[in-house]
Amino acid sequence: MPTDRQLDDRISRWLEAEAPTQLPDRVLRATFERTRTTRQKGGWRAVLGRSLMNRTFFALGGAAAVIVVGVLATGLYFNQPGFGGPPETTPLPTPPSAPTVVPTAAPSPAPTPSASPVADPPTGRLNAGTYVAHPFGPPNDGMSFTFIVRSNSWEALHGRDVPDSEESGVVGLLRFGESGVPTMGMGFHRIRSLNGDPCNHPGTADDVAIGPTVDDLVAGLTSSTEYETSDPTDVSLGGYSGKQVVVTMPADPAAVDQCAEGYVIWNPMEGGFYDNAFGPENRWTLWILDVEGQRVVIRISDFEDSPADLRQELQSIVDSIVITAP
Amino acid sequence: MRRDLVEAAARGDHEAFEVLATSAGDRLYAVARLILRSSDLAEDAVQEALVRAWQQLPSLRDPDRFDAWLHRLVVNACADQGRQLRRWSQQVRPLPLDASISDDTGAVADREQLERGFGRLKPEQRAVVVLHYYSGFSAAEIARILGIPEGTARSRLHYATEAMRAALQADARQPMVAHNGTM
Repeated sequence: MPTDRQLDDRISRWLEAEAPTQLPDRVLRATFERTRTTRQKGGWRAVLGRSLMNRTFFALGGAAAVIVVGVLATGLYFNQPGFGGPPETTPLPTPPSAPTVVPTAAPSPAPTPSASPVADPPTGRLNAGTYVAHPFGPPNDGMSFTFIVRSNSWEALHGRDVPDSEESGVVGLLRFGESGVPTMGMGFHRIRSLNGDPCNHPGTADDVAIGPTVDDLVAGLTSSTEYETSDPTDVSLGGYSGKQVVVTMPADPAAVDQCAEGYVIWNPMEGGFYDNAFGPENRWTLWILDVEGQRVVIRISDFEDSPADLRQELQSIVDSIVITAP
Repeated sequence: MRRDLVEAAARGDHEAFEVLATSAGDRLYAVARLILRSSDLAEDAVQEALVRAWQQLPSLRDPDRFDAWLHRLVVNACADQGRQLRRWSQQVRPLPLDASISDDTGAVADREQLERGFGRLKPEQRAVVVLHYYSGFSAAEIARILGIPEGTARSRLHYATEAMRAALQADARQPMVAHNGTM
């Protein structure tokens, strides 16, 4: 009778002997033929990741090196790590006069946007200013969200750049971390249903149907055992009232990072985009609002250890939102 | 360097992805073929896993977990291959013995018995055996890779190992045949 160690050795050596040594080249060729024509998924990350890379390539390959060095040195190019810009903790050029404690359930006064807002800017870096987003397709295409950005360090995400999305305006904002992937963001959403198993969201077999009201979505989220949710609180934003819920994704990396199709807790209305969690313990602070009978979700995505000043900056953007419904 | 490649691939750099996939391909193929016991199915599983890796790379927050994540994708792709055939556990047959192969275990009979014991395992147990004894992952790492509790990984590994021990101890040896429908 073999000892445990002997048995372990036998099994290991047997598997080594049985294992093929080389993947046939034709498999890799066929794989790359497919991947070259296949878009990456991952919602905001994928789109803005490519956007960032393309601009890096342009900057380094399309301009004279001396000019690039000059631009980087003077900080006139991208204001972010990797481009010679200031670190993540750069103070806001114009901090809000009354920083908001986050997350907050209390109504926050909405600053009046400046006179000439920019409507639905393309995907990419935003300058400080006032913007108007029309994030939804029909029948909510007339709904707009006006907001103030107080620094030059946020990226807009336009719906036309999101794979499988039919949204026709800006659907959110992002902030990149040092590794070049977004770590914080804000989004506008219309939600159709929830996923029973967020790690296996494709298909509809385990979709959890939810009714059309604010309370329906709140009940669906808070009854899930897949992620943690805070107790819902009353909230008011942009002139409309609703509920606030904070959703915290699982801490186990295996439960979030390794999902083949991403960790996706909800499904958008038709034409909307699928947005997966940024990673374990990703925190979604949700304002679930009733806007003239339409349920709208405004979401901040961050982590518990996200820099406080950046979180405050993002909160100030949300606090500035004015919603206009036709 | 590898982390840089993963981050570049996650941002859509296909050349970086090709480097990563090429370097991981042989290992993934070995894992898939050991689990599936079929070269054709294993090739399909690896291709599917790599395509999914390309699609989902932007969702991978920690580039250092790329290798573990790839293993999960290939194990899942092995399961999908079986499901597509609707007969995951019935289509998989032991590889034919090649008497010309010699190894330190000494006897063809030994291999035959290991083969038989392995072939009787459920696919999920086979995956745990391959990840542990071939890829060298611990039970805790296997649990993270497969997204299962560590206790479940340990239990599968224990059962599988004991099943193979039992096969080695079997008194009677049976002729090696393809086991369609008998696993």
